[in-house]
Amino acid sequence: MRSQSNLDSKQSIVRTSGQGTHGNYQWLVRPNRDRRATGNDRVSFGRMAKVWITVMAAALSCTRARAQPDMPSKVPIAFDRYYDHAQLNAHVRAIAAAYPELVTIKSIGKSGEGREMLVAIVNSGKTGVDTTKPAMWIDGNIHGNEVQAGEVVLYTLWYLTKAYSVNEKLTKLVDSTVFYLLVCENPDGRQYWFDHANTPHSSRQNQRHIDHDLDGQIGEDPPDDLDGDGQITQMWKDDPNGRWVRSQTDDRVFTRLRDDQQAGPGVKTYTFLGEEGIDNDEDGHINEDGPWGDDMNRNWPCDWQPTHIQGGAGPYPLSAPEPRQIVEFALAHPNIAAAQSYHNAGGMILRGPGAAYRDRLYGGEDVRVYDEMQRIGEQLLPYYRGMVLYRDLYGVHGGEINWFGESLGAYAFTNELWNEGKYFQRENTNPSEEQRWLWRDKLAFGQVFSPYKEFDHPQFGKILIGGLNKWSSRVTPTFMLEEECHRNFAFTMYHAEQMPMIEWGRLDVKKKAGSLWEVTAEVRNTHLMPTRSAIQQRDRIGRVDLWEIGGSGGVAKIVAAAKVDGWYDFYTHEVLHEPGRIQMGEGVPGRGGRIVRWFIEGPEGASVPMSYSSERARKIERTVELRETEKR
Amino acid sequence: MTNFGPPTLCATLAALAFTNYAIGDSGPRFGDEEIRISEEQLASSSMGRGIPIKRLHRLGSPEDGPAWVVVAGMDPRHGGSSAVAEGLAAALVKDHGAALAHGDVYLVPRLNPDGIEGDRDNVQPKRETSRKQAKPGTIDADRDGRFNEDPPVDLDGDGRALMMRVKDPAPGSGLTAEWVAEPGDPRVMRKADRAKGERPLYALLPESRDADGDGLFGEDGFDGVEVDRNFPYHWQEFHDEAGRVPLSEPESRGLAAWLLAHPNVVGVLVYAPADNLVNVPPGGKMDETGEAPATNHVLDADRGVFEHVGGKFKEITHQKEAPTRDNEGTLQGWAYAQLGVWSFSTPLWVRPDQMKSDEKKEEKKEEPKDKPKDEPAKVDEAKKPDKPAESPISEKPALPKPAKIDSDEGKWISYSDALVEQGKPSGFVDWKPFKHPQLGDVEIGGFEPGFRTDVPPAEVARLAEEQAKFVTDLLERTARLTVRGARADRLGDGVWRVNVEAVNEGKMPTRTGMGVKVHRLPPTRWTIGVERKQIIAGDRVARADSVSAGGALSGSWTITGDEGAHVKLTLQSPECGEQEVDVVLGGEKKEGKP
Repeated sequence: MRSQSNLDSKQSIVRTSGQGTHGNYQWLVRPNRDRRATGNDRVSFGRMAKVWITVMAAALSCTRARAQPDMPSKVPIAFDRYYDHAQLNAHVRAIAAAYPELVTIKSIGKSGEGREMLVAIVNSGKTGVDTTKPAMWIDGNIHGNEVQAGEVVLYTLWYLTKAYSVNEKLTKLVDSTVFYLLVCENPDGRQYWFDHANTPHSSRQNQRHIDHDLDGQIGEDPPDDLDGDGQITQMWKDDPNGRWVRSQTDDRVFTRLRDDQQAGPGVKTYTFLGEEGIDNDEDGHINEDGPWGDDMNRNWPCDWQPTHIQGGAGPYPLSAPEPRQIVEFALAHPNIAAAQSYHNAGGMILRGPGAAYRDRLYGGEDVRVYDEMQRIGEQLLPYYRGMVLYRDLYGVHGGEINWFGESLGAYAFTNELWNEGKYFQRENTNPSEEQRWLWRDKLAFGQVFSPYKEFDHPQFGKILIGGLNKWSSRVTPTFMLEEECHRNFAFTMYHAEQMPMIEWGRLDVKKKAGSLWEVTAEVRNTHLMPTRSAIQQRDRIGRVDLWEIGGSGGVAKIVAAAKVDGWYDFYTHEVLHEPGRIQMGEGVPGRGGRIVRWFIEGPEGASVPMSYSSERARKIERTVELRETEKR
Repeated sequence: MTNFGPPTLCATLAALAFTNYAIGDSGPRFGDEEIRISEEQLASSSMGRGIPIKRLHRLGSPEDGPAWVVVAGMDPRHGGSSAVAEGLAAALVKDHGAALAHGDVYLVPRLNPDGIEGDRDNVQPKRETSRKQAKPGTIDADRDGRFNEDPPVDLDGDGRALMMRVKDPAPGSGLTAEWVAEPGDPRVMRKADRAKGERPLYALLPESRDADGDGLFGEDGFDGVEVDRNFPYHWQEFHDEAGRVPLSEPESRGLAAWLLAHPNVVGVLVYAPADNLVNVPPGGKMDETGEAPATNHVLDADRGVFEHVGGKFKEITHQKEAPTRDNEGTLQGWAYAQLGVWSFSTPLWVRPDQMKSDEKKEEKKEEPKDKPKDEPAKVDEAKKPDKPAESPISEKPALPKPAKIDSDEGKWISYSDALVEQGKPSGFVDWKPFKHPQLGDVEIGGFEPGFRTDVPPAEVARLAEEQAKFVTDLLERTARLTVRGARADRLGDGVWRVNVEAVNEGKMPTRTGMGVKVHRLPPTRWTIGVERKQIIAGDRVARADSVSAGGALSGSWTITGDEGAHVKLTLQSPECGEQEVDVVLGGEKKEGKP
């Protein structure tokens, strides 16, 4: 059965008798056209039935049918288009103005070019100030060209605000947690992407001016939009010694000749001349010093390495104001337990570390939490895959989620938004070049491509300019943007739901001699994340949890205390100091509990206050009455 | 940029805005040149103290010429280094100004005023710490949710927070005996040698109470970040003294940003309690990235220079041993491994038994230097020793009987005893019984804070003079490019071959091997000032990442041009500045000015 389930659903398994001397059965695989036809018929019938039932239901119970999906926002925003940085910020301000009870805006500073960086704090004021609740940090677009990240974060803010007090699940989540949302970490890179001609991959960095080729001049040889079409596309030259040929059936397709191939007689060959541009500074290199600065996702103080080791790292950790301001905010908010950063592209749910030698920072309990979240994430995000950066993608020194994960000890992911497989919604996530032209022509109506045009280049002579533009490969197509936003938003809501939530567990009170009482109490964490991640415990990150009892000046005297391993594994550990204020460096594990036993002197019936507080969980408080509880 | 161009706008503003006590007409003269000292603000400390950086240069010295940066006053245990740095400035001005022809010297006399001067609003007892004082409410070293609740304190009222030793700590005190008092000198504490069956007798703690009743003594005070552990090279993540992020402190970040903005800095000389001059760094080993030197190491390519400079340093200072430490997170480590410049560090002063006793040195000292009598002493006077004979070296004080205890601590005690014999204050506070409110009978004592690290005030003048000699040597060693043999040879009608060479006449390459590796700065390069279409052969630019000592960067071009035309050849080097030479096609060559 196992091998069958692994096969393509379009194929059927036929068991035939073996032909060989061993007389074994063989598994053969062949397309089953007949069954597919039958299946289609059946589906059509089923779909018709469903439609009919839906229509009937709608007619019978109009309001009920509408109540679920209809959650209008006070701020209508279309998610079938992209917004430049000013527009994104305007939406953020508009939502904050429309939902003042839920959203406050804090400017954390300005980008290198002076654009405002606004953190939207989603907090239900009636359940407490933000810093008393576990928080999730969500941001994106640290690479300026990875634009849909901004829309996903904006969607998160938009959906949370419109769903609050309408949708029960999200209302409960917002009431018990806090979200810090930064729509765009690289405002200058994003704005450059909108305002200027770009390649399919440019405007990743910030706009710090750097002398990339170390010739003493800065930005003197950028790519040039030679044909003035607003895009930086590719340059090709008709060249008898070229190693590329154009397809006979679709001349937009260039194919590289293999080393053992030769173009046939009469077949034109081409040389690829790189991205559109001229040798502006006449140094023999084209486009080698353009308007791009540091890769700010290599500028974080977490295994930061200088540029000869990690390209784009910047002159020193947090040299760029954008990550510096985020770090300052995060360090001032120790309640951040979870973090998500959006990038494009490829369809990945990435976690750290970025280098093999840092794998030791990811301890057992943390890995279990990450694995579980990635497993669910892969279900919520079709065509996405849970991955470990250094192992499954590439090495990163000084990355953002590495900093959140390793230096703060928060559970942090990077999602690489958009996977090309989503165009076809079939198993093949690596379509052929012919298949790609199908979506480029039939789904995108050619908008991702500039047709090849002849151009008289000052250095190369007659060339062709054209090819794929900046919308062609990394950016979610606008007609699928809302879905991308929603699924990723939903993944972060699932992530946020895993932040620690503590509650009181079992309580046993026993009377001992005289006025001495034995009180055994339990704190339970009902969620997946521990109140103190394994890395926090090991590397002493953040304040320890505190379990306090007795208050000040109460009638009860806290005589002694011991930590108990479990209700059934009841080994005890002596608490040597401050039995009324027990330091819980180990926190409360995910979906687990901690037990402490006290010996307390006090009159029968006395009320003894007790509390458990953690930086990353809402504090819980209760009173313990000095009166025997029922025997268990 | 030209050689003698006006100072940049920025520098002009800085000069206007900040003290600019150029010595002016009355200044010491070296031929027609004059020494100038100008000052700008490098940064403002966490507590708002200004951190000046001074530039010593000869009048007319180009802003983009080679420069060395001397940084002092980083470690609170080493506050006296600031006085040596100031003395160095005075000595350079007075006796060694000629060396400034080879480069400028920038001085940061006190990078960490908060650490050395403390918090005026929250005065803490004198104590041994390498860290800067933090504001109340910012430090929770034990992560218990209470801030600065249990600092080291002055229990016995002698103005200092020293050490406490507790003999045979009682069971339940929470203390564990791990130490013994040396049988030969019970003032000296060391860890018990358990392999030899030695029974530990003492617990050793900072002078403190357990103010918060958590069983720990003096564990959460006001000690913040150690500035010299806050730099990004092998920064010690998760160590409180290293800071929450590298360059978190305005002092370290201000200096790093300044250095990054000055490509003409060829080297950094750090005055800190860690040496890499006597202890010449080993070469070759790389860290886990494979692309950066392992802690304390340098590239093989640079090791020779470190060895020669270290040799010269030992010759000047007579040091044969010096304390050192791992250079993780240090300015010295960062300047070499990430900035890619020469980077040396010295504690300036070492215990007398760590020096060679050398008669020759004294003889040299006797020789009076030829110097003008009527020089202004404004800068010097303050630093000048009252009596020239006060240098302890000539006084032969502190090489007493060999230390009773052959350990570093034992030698320090022995040195302290020798000082006492000379009627000088002791460096060690004898253990005295004290009734501790929580621990009962304890003893309080230990080394005077800074005794084992800081520069004795009486030594400042001698050390400043030593440093002036050493810095003079560094300046003379510095790479300098001299233009040679610029000429144009006629190959045919209107076709010429132009040749030029820049020779490094210093004793160091223009760039360290590490500087080449980090690829931060443009190479040294010749550029020919003709149209590209005139060049028949040769790149318009001839480059070298580094020009070795005695080596040359040559440029050769075959060009077309009219007879009599002037061709400008420009030599540019981030480290050595810019020079131009003019060649006339078919005419006499003209040498450019450096």
